[in-house]
Amino acid sequence: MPAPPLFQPPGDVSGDTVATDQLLSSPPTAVLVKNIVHELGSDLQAEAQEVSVDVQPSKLPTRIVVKSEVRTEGAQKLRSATYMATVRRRETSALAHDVAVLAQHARRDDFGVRTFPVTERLKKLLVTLSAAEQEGNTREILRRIRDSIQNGGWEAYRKPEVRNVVASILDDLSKLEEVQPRHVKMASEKIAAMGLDSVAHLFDMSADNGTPNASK
Amino acid sequence: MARPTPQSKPKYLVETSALRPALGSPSLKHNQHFSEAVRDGELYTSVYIRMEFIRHWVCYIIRAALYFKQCDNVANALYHLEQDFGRGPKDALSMIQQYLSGCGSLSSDTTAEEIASLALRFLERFDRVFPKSIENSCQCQIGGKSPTVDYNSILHDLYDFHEDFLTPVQDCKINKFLKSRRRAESLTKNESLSELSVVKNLSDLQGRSKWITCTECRRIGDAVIALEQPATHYLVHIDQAFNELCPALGRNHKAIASAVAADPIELKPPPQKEPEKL
Repeated sequence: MPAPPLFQPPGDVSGDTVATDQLLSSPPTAVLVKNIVHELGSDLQAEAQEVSVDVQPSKLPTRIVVKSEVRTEGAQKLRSATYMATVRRRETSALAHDVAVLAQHARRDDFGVRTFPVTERLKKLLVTLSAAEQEGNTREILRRIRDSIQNGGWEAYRKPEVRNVVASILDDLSKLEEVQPRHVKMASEKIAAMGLDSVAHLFDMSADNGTPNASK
Repeated sequence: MARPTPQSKPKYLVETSALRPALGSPSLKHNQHFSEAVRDGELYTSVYIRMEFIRHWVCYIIRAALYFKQCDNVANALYHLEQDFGRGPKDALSMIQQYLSGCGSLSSDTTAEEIASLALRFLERFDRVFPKSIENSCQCQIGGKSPTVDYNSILHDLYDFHEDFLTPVQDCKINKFLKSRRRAESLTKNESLSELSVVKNLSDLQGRSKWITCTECRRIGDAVIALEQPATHYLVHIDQAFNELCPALGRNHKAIASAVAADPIELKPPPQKEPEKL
């Protein structure tokens, strides 16, 4: 709610036109101060406030001062490392559940379609965490999982051992206070051990069938 | 020429020019052509070849990531990369564009991080495809390096790696490698090789008694690889220079076709189908 205006009585109303330089150089007879305060909330929603003031006519200028204040303390707390870690833990826990639930659809012909909610959730979480400086290692793990599913990689997720490993990686993320580079290394090794290739869609994997030493 | 024993699998040292189909190029036919050529053997790399891979590929992708960070939108960054990549890997930009199309619509900041991740994963792929390496006879000091990265500061870490990797090594042991056993002379004194640009470059450096650092080494890479090749290994290559270098040094080699030869694209459009008669 805006603060009540400070208002001083205006001077006489004469109806005469006052020249601009006189308006600028003459001291105001009245000063109206309008305070508009906007609390940036948790949802970071935009808000518009409109205030109307009737200024009584007067010979001398009336100064209207508008003070707009945006308070960001609430929102700043919501971009803190602690908060983003909370978001990461909550979302990766949900993702772990989503991956585990894929078991119910493993035999379907359209299994690739069933992985859509997982990739969408992964991508949304990547966007949410994109500005979180302390979640870079998290983003890398999520990115590797995302890329392992896309472009046909979902077929591997029909296997329970693959789903279990990926769900366990996400489950680990849902419990860690801080995700460190060694967690990326461990997750990458687990993903590679399952034969998942996070850059497979950039390289034609069908040519690896006969290539010695090449892992899929 | 030394030949592997009948019971042992052939050992294939994959030279830099053949790395792309080895790692999986966009051309299925080219990849299959490579796979067929090496199906019966084991793949090897060398510290020197790995150095060339990092310098030619990984460092370029790191540079692309930093460009994305420096530009205000993806289109702008790609424009600058196109101007810059004239001497870069031929399909690096298409790989980057293909990767980004899979990521979805991203800001240039997020794109930078995605491409930085791609650089690292490309190197990881190399190390998975080539777990075995020949002896580092030339003692290249940088080919064995890998970036140490905290993904919370991935661009900064990769920038540091990029700068460090591309800073020429001044006390390069390749100078001793080329001098010992008169290795360099085995190429420069061979008249049949005199027209090869790599041999001309080597002769030029020797003639000027130029101390070789990474800067000069770029011009003689094929020579170093050829001289390092063990007698027990076949060199798998696309670069036609090795068709002459390997026999001159008494080494086995296997030439594979280039992408254009293995997977040619006709510019002529296919014939139009005749309309069906009703």
